[in-house]
Amino acid sequence: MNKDPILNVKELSTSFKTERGVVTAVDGVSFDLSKGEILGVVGESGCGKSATAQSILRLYDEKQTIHKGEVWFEGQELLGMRPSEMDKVRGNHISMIFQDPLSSLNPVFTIGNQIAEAILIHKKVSKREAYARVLELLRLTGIPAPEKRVNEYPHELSGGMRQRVMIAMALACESKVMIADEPTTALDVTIQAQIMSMIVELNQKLDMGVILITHDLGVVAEVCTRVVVMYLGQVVEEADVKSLFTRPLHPYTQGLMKSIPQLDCDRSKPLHVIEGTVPSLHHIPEGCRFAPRCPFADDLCRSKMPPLEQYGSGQKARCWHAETISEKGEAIRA
Amino acid sequence: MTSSTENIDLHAVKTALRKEHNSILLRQIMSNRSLVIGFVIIAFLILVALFGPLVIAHDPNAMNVLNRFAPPSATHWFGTDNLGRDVLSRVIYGARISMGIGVAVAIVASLAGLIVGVYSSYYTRLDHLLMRISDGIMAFPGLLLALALMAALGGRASNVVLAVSIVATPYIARVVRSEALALKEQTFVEATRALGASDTRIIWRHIAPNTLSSLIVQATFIFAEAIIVEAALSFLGAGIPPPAPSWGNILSDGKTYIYKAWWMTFFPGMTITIAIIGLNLFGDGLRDLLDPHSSKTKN
Repeated sequence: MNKDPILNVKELSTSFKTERGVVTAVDGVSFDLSKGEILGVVGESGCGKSATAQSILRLYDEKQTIHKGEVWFEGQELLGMRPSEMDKVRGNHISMIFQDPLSSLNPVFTIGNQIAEAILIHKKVSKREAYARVLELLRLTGIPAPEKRVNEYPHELSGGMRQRVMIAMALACESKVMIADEPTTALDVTIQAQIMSMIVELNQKLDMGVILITHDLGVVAEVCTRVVVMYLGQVVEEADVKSLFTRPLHPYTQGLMKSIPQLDCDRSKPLHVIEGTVPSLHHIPEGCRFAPRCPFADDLCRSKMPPLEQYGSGQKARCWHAETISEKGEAIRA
Repeated sequence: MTSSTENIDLHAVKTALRKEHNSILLRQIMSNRSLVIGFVIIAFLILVALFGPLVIAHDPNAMNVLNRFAPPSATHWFGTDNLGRDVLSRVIYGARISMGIGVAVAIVASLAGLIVGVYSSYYTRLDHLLMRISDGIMAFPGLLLALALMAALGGRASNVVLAVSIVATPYIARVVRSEALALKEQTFVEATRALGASDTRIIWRHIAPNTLSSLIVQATFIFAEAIIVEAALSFLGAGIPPPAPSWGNILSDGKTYIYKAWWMTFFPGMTITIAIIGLNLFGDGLRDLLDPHSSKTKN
């Protein structure tokens, strides 16, 4: 596997100025993405997964957003870049696909037109060349009869087709990083599998780095090489897939895993849930952010925030009791 | 082999669906009574304005002092005025001027309103500036402002268009802005930004085209409003300078003789009323057709 990092996120923080004060949605997030790697970012809704992704591309209204930290892409720092420079990175070097493919497409233009636009924004090519490339992209993303589909409007396509179109747009300029923000959430299960296997295939074929944002740990186990687990705007655990699933260190990760329904589980028992809900960003708990919902929390947890510490090779966790808890976790499962 | 047959089948299905779609659209249009009635009225008036002057028997400005105040008859369907001019001819010529000004105002105000609307939806500070100016314009009664502008600019047809467009632009801008504000938050705008599109591209290629259906509806109402304001300006002597026959001018000429020759005011007045009713019906119908939110489920 290729190990050159192409995207370095260092201590990224994103705060929004709201009427109720400044809210920090992403708090000191760091990770690397290598070429040809699929990095999973998991967590509950509202834990800052999407905010991290959108901050990397600087998609928020900059007048109401404060970014801190650094995002390095091929020797360039993105957060300090001029907006016009940033336009050249978006879609060209780093592209993004969104959750709901229908609302991500402009209803008044044909898909061919929209994919061609993705090319014409960055490349100085004639319309004819752009259209030739559009057909190529549609074939690459497995859309049948591209010559006909190219002249259709978004509403004429199925959900899976639309997501393929979105992916075609993301691939239009052969970008080196693709951020997929819950790309299969709005699709039904069979289509989900198709889209995911296509993303994996393209990732291998094009040697593209992929950041896959999802809350589906099953998907993570299947396609990702490394995983970042987020809770309330922070990274709580980072590990390669194998380590994460064999030895989850953070109680939140353990909770997430226990919440996956098992085929062989006792059906009379209710499914496992992590007690409580994600606190509002306006009322961030003191100490460890997960402490109020954590079954292992003690006074230390409730008063002092644990650092993100290294455990073994390439596994990091933000927990005071990571080692003891991971043993207990194993004990519970055994 | 199989795939090609599948494709052909797919294509056939598609064409059938398109036809089906077109017939549904046609049925929707035909069942929309106000749209059809409005369209017939407007189409009739536009045809009259375009081709009427080619077939009428009398020169609208030819005076015949021997035949003043002739009541409606077979030769002069709408009668003659105080100078012996044929009122029907003048109303038909007036359609050219009044409808022409209406169309011109609708176009000018739509363009200006579109520009103001999309830009103010996108840039907050510009929004404050442009919307306060709009509020200022809207605070005046439209006719009064148009009258003041005409007094400043001088009585010419192009100035009437300019003055009425200034009055009408904020109404278009408001509609476009509110539509654009909602569009701006749509995921496809964000997705386009994630593709690296510039603000200008997002505004003109992705936001503006999606505001057009509301804009067109509003423009028909502005068309109607412009005819009324032009008529009022001309009636007050601040619009199209006489002897050019605009509907307002004809009314204005007739008002002195309203007891002696009712036809001088009745016919142009009726024409204006019918034109406005037609345009409003058309606009309402268009709104029902274009805006799925306002359409009531009628049978």
